[in-house]
Amino acid sequence: MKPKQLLEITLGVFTSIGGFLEVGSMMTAAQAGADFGYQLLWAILLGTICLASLIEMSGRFAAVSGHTIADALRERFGLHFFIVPLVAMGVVSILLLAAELGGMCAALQIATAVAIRWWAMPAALLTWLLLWRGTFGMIEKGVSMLGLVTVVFGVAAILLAPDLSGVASGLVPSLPHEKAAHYWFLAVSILGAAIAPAVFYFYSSGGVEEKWDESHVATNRIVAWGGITFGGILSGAVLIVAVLTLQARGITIDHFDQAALMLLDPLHRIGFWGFVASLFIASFSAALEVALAIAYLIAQGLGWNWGEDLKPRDDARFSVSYTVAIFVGAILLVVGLDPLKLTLFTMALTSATLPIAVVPFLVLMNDDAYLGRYTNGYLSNAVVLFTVLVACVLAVVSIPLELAGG
Amino acid sequence: MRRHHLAGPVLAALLSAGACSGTPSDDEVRETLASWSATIRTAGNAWLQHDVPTRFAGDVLSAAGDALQGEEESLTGTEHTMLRGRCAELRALIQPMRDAISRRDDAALRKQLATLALFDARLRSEERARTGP
Repeated sequence: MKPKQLLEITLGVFTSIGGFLEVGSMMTAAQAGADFGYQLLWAILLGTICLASLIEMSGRFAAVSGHTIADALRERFGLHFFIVPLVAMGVVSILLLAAELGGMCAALQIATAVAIRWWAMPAALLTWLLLWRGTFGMIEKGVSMLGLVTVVFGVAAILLAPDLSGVASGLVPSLPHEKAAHYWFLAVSILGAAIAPAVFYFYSSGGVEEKWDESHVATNRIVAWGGITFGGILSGAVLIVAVLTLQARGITIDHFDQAALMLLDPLHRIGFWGFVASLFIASFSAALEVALAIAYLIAQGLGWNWGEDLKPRDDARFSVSYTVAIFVGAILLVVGLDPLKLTLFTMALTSATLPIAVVPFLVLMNDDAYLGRYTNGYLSNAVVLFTVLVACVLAVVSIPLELAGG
Repeated sequence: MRRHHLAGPVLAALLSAGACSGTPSDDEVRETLASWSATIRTAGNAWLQHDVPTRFAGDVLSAAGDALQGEEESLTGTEHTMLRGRCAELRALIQPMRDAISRRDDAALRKQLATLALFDARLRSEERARTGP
């Protein structure tokens, strides 16, 4: 392997690790640990495997076909069909963006005690400014690298020395002893947080922005599986820490402030500030990605000029798309939506809409007109299809039950 | 016409979901009480050890006060008198703790945390009596 390729892989893996955690994966894992101990670790494992498969596929698709997922969907299925994933993913992604902005605001509230709604517009402005002025490389590599601060959860999990047999048993799916509706709601929220379509649609756009070709297929595979696996381990670490610090005290998470206590036992003051920094940076990084993913989806699907490296005047409609999305997300927070409830609900809703985003993509991944000899194998098709359909069915059943149960 | 047939059950389902979500069960309220009590204790102890800033500790106490007030207001009817009382009791501990923290008075906060420990012990013994050994 050439040194340049090795550097590319290392950078890619670190970027994926740093970019894995966001407000959804952090809060769903923390709440799962606080409410059900290790019992929901299997959902993180399943979500991680499915996301790594989808990321690998979207990178391979971009490298071999030179297309992004959105523009290929429109080309392959036509505009009338494309409107369905565009609307479904657009709505869910705006809620997701609001949740990520909410995560940034929650971190700022924990640090300053100034209420979340006062931070909504400054957080939106910061996100918009970086997209307006920044480049794709700065956003993908720079901000995601800062996300490596989330390794603090891995350190805390090691220091707390969890019972490994308990951890191992949590990796096997099991039925809940109580609060079944909430258990399944959290399971689908974890899956939705892991397998957000915005992430792998964004990844394919990144591949095209960086002009990948067939020589990137192997690198992409290592980066996707390596980075996402380590990212999944960090998500598991959040759950483990929540079991050993929050559940051990009988604390459930109804408010972001309660989650902020989870790193105090192993890391004291560093733990507190580590949590604040992790929540802010992970949410900020995800807000940038989701805002871009929304703009990519609309611009690529409708055949507009697009590119984060272009000047806003050269892709005005693309720039307007992320601008509007960011400020709509911020307004949802200003009017007083609870960002924690919004996060959990959005993650579950993401699971419910997964088939709309993933099944057409799987059709593309099996189309040799786009991929030639690089089409999917049976195993990857089966793993992704199974996970997505299970997540969707569970979401459709558990969301109304969770709403009914409060 | 068909739209009206569908609208009825959908609206009813949504309304009943809303109605249910406004009235948590006694078990849920007990769990929330215990959770906020543990939250306050953890934040208070962390403040004493200088692990969290004063403004954060104050914010946790405000959030606890708001959450407990919400629980108290959701408990209507005489059958919930005892639980309402427990919510009010825990809420009453919050203001002296906030005062102690804003004055940076470690001794006063320790005293309040000791009272909170007694409250926790009573909650636990009531829980044991309710659910059996």
